[in-house]
Amino acid sequence: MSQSGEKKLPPASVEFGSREWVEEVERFEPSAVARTRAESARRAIEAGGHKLRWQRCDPESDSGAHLPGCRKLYLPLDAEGASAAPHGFVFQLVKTSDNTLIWNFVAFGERHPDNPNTRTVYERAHKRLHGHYP
Amino acid sequence: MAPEKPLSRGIAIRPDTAGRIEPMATAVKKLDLEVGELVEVGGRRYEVVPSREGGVTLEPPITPVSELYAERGWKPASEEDFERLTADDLPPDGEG
Repeated sequence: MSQSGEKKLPPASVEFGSREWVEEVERFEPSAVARTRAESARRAIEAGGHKLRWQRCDPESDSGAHLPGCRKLYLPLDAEGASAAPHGFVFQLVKTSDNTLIWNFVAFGERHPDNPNTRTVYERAHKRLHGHYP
Repeated sequence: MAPEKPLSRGIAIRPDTAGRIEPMATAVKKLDLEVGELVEVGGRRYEVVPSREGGVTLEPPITPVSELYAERGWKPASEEDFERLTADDLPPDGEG
């Protein structure tokens, strides 16, 4: 039971939309570490059986990103600790036309890029949710 | 004569017959663009977005969920559904 006393919902499936995938992952060269890491994580998620360390996104963060209704995974999925996971996936909970709840993939990228001109995964997620960068 | 080689944006070099290299200016196409507009270069689309320095820059576009969900008949779930589905998640860590 949740804190509100309401019954917990069954888990929602994860959806990787083709347009989101092209824009987020296929912007990298096929041999790029970032892309192969994202592809590997997607295969593991879709295959199931992998213990996923889901984490809620901050509704408001210091970066200015506003990500309500979102959760994230750090990549590689089997990294020991957050510091060993330089990339992240962000998903938003969505209700489909047949009232099914799914976690829709919205962003992939670096959590703390070295290049100051590179957008973080959170900035990319904010842009996809709100149409502009924070 | 050897073919021209691009050196950097807006400049090309042309080896002359004596082996020296002379700079050759190329025409620069100026675009009067505003944030949010899309341009297509070589078959690839780019969006005009604000740069961190206060100017503008071009980046591959990120299609907003409002457009994607309208096409698919989806909508963001309620806060209540989110709370119930993430009750066992790790808490936010303050980074985003």
